[in-house]
Amino acid sequence: MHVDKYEQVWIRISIFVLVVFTLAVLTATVSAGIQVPGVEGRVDPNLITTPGASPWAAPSVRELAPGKYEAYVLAQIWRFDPGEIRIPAGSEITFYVTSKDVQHGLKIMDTNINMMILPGQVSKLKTTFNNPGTYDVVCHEYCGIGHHTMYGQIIVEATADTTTTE
Amino acid sequence: MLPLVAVILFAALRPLKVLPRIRISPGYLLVDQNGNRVSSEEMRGQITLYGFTSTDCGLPCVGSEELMADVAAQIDSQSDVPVELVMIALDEQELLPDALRAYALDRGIEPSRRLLTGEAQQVKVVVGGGFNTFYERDSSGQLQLDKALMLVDGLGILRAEYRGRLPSTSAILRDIDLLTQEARNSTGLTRYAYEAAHLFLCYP
Repeated sequence: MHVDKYEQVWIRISIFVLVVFTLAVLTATVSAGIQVPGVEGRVDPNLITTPGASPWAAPSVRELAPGKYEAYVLAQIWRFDPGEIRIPAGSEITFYVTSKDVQHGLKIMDTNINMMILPGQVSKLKTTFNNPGTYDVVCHEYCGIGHHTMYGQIIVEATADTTTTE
Repeated sequence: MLPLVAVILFAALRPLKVLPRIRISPGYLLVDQNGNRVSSEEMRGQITLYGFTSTDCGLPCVGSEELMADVAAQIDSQSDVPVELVMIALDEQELLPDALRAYALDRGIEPSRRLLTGEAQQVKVVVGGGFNTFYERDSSGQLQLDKALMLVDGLGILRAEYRGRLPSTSAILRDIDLLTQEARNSTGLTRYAYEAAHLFLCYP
């Protein structure tokens, strides 16, 4: 069967691209561990507000140790709970966020915190707030008619160390 | 082509199982029920299961102490890879050795497990900051504690965190066995197979 020279070239390029993509997917999946959300880090949305069954029943910020915090944040239409978080400057904080109802997003302005929040799925990110100030938290996944009203704040309070060094 | 097939087969069949390397476990210098100073460095070369308690602990400690006792009763004390079970006391005040020893005897912690204490701030840094386990005293002075057990390997790397609903004894024993097998067999060429198992996330 006659195949044009240029068509042969493009067939080879196509096969090469497919092989590269296959290897990239295999590497990402089995080696780098990039995968769709699994069983770990999931929570039953039906039990999420049941006291004792989940930490999101009483969303809060907890001090693990001096300068180290964890925040259990519940996203729901159309607010974050807690809506305001206060931590001292220089603190490391780990966010555990889930949704009670529909898909939401959580973006903390002026930081690289940017998460998609799905019901039943726990999203986790850790960051350190070195600079005092107020950081706005917005939902950046459309979640309904009140989406634009869904926001919160993280207030990073100056400490003696930060005020004397600045 | 053959190496590629071998890699894909290894990733698919997962002939070895390992526990993930989560992070370095915290360093500490605390005191045990016999008044001896105990550091995290002394735990090198052995598998250590950490639990948390306090002398006035009520509901938050129910289950975890019994689980530790059950594990202690079933581990192989003659294993070439020793297993140490350690409870860290979360009391507001550093306990005196006599009080610590009396508590250890009362709860059956002696002689199979160690009970460690230290200054409250120091313990907070180790347990809260290092093991990421939340605890605090509420307004009535009651201990609020997230149930947790931590499994650390002989290199001082945290390999398993059991949080919330506690696992079964058999699940912990399985994990200890996996660490034991890895410590025992991870030499020579087999070491590369174990590293491959880590690379390909061959977790149980």
